[in-house]
Amino acid sequence: MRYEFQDPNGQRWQVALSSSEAGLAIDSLARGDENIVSHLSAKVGAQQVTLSDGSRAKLCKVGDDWWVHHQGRTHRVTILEAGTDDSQISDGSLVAPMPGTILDIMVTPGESVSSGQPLLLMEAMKMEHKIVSPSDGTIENLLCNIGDRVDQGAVLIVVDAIE
Amino acid sequence: MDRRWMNGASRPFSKVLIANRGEIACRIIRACKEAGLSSLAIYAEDDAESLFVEMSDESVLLPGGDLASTYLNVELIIKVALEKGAHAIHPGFGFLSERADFARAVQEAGLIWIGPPARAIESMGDKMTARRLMRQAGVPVIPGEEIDELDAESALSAIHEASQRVGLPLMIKASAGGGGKGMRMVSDFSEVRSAAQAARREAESAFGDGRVYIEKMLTSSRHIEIQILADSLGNVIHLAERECSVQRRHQKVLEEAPSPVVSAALRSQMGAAAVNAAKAVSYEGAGTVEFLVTSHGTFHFLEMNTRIQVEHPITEAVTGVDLVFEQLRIAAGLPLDRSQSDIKINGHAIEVRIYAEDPASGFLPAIGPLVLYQAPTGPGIRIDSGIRQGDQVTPAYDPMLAKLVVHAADRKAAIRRLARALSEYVILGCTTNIDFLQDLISHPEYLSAKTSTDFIELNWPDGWSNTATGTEVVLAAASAEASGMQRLGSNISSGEDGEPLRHDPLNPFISIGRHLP
Repeated sequence: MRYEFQDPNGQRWQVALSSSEAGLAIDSLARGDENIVSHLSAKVGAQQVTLSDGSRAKLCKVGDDWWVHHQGRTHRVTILEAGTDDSQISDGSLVAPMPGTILDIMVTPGESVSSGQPLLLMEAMKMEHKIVSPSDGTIENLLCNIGDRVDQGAVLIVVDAIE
Repeated sequence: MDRRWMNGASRPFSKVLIANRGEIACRIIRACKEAGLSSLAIYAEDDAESLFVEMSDESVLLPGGDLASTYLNVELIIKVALEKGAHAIHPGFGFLSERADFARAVQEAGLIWIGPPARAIESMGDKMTARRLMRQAGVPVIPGEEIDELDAESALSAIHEASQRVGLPLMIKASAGGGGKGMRMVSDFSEVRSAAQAARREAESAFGDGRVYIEKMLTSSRHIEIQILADSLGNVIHLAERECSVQRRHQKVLEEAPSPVVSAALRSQMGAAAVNAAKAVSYEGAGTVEFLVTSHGTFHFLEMNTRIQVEHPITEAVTGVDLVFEQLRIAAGLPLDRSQSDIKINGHAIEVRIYAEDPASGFLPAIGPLVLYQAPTGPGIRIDSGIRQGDQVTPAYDPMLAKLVVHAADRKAAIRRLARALSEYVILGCTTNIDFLQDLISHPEYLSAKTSTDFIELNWPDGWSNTATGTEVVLAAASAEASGMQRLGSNISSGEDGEPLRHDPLNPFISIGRHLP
């Protein structure tokens, strides 16, 4: 089993696990290009993981994020799908950064846009946020209307980038 | 319900409307329960599932999507109280708590106002009036001058002249001010005019009152406040001080009692000044007189908060006085049941405010589901909170999730207890400041009590960074992923449209559509 995570500082972690008597053991672990030798293994319980060093972690998953409470500190690592780039923008889908209300939509489907061009305006946390185009391209799809209340992570608009 | 404590009261009551929400509403409801009073909550639609509504004996929905039609709706709140037979209204803090017009309207409707007289709120709310009253009462105020000129040009020239007498650096502050609005710092005489114009303009638009005053800026001073209690018969006592120096942009982060720098002599001087301040405005109820204390040990009146305060639990811990219950007693017309000499300080208490915010991103408010919420327990721990596991932290209200209060024999023991409690505090699903607080209370400058109002800016000039990710964390996450650990978060409704997934009958999180108080 291989997984790739990204930590809050943007650092990538690659880990390979295999099952053993002791639970799940690390076969290989790398932080970026650096290989880390570790003989730690883990046993998984209902809502917690017990590590072979005797420490425990409490966990939950929200979206692609694993929240981990370990030795008094709270961590969050994002699981990355194998072989994909981390950015949700890479496929042209722009998502709401937080829950909020769509105040204005400045483009229509099919319209050509340039990188950095404001596409829509939303209000969240009592502040206005501009959603801008990540690249030159055309508006492929518009998935919200003015006045809509949207959740965090909701896809608002899809831009088909010109390669 | 046992209400014998109210025997002989001149203004007895049995049902209290709580004109607030969240944590402080829960605190007041609990006090009502213990006092044998029934509680009536009011709530906005997005609070329908909130803890305070669940805890109250009765609750009434105030329709409408904004604060003006709900928690700030003076007319409707009074109407609800009358219709539901509540005899008294407790405003908590924030919202309508320091609105003299509300206090007056409550009393004119024949209801009991659990707070100070409207006149006292007005006098203390207008900072220029307050400074003059304090000077007359012999309470030391921050050196400075009030500017009475109304006409813009004459006000500006008066400010210019006054600034020469007050000296630099100085602050220009709105008389009707609060929340940092209409406030400007000046460190060069050439800036006085533009700063004064900006402050007056901001004050005019925020409060409809452009009057300003000038204060000498006391840098690296400590924020120390005195809790007072005053009954309707004119008796006033103080309950010693709270040190609230650890702040971020005028928002308190950590408070402790007693202050590590206040001697018994200074305590009794500041206490006497606070009692005089309260008497000068014929105060009634619980209130707080805030002072700035300079590094030379001189203290100066800053302002008076005419309500219960967020950080009141640390005073309760060290004095053993239940301040909210005292508010109820005083409102009922009962005399204080203790005198100044009965007030003793026992041990040391510290409160930290647990905020849904991201200290690694400039302390921006954070949101998310409280998928796992486990608060610390054990000796000397108190949690005041308006949330529980499964609630959704939304951007609608204040980001304070909880107050963690510890009490121990002395400051060192209290800090050790706080460190233990913070490390036990598990909140997963929404970013909080818990890790930052752990670093804050283990900072050498904090341990040696060298705190001032610029403590955080001085010690984290480039901001704070997340606790480093380690091998253990990656392994734990990978193991959980590999074994298909239940995706608790995925069952939590992410917001308005709210129908949670219901495929797992054992999942405790399926009934969630709650919003953070």
